Amino acid sequence: MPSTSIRNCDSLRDRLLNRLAADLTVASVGSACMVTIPVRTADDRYVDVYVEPLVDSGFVRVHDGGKSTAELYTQGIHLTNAQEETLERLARRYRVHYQEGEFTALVKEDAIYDTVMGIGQCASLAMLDVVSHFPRLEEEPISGRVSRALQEWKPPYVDIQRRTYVEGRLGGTYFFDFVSIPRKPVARTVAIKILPPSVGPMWQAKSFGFFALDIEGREESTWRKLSIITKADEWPDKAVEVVRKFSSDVLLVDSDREDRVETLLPAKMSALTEAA
Amino acid sequence: MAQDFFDQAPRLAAEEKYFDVSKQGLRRALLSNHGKCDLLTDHEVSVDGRPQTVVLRLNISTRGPQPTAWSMAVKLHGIRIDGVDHEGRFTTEDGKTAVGWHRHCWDPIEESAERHKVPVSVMDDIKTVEDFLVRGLSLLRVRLNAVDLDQELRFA
Repeated sequence: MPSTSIRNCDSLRDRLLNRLAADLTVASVGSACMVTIPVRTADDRYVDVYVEPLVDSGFVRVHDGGKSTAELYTQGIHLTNAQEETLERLARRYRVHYQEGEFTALVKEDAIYDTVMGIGQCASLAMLDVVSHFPRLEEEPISGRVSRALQEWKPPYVDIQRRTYVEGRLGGTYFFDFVSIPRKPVARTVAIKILPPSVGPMWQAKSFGFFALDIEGREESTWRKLSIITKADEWPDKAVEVVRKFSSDVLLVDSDREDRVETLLPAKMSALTEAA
Repeated sequence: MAQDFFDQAPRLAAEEKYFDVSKQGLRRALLSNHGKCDLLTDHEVSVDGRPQTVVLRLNISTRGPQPTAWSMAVKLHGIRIDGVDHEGRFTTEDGKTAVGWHRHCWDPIEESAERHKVPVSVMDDIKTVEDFLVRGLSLLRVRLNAVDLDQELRFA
């Protein structure tokens, strides 16, 4: 019996070794070697670890390329400071570092195996948060709220158009989110532009200014413009002032207060629609 | 009241989606935020003949010098419904083992894009962020604003 069990364990070891050898791959990626180790993450990926020799030094840099944090980000998990600190502590336990979103270590060549496995385990464990990540049903888009508010406000002599495109003099194509077009000449056309922070409030503000300047001379430039700045609490005053400069009026909406659009919009539209 | 449009995920992935930012603006955003970018857009989709608006997010990560660590995703309610990234080894939708760039496609049964992976050769040999953005955005059917602000504007 004992000899049979030893044989079984040996054959099991051989089988596992063969499988591990087959599943472990190393590929050349630029100046680095990308080691794919047979460790699956919670989001069903094999872990890639990069090994970059530092020429003539006897040292290698081992890291995950920031892949784990990148995957967390694109899967909807934006790390908080507390989560980042947890990853730093995790890295220390495996005698590596967590810096600027990357698990990394600089070691001598004879420590490659332990470091590759340490980085690999950190990269795998870092994905644990996907297990408890669920859809976060977002509030109604602000354009939906604006649309509803406009339909409730609109007087009988006004038609509301959605997404009206305008060609600029320099060839750019822009759009207003909504345009209120009166059927009687004594009232004014009002164009609404919704401005989220986008890649940055000042960029958004300048973009809007560019839009306004580029359509000068066109009929659309004579329309009264109502700019709705969303997440207004994230906008610096200077960016808001730029938008004001090119708008007939501005409606500021703070984060988590988008319901205010439906309360405040009607009065602004009435005032802007009046011809005077 | 917030609505769940996950049953529309394959359509949303297939349709062209417009994000009101230029490519250069996107590059600047990535440079100024450690290689990460999070953009929103209101996207109109017709459901049962009625127009509905859903909020879609475009997340891009180009952190670090290794293109193989970069990724891009379109998300609905914080969940990836479409995306592209690279793995040293992965299992395709038909159970085969593959290497490299692949697209994450929505699986309506699992209600996830995590496991349904389709190899994409168009992303091979990417060396720069520019390459990655151009090819990845095209693959995910993301259209950007063609106009860019490249200089300071003077306001009267």
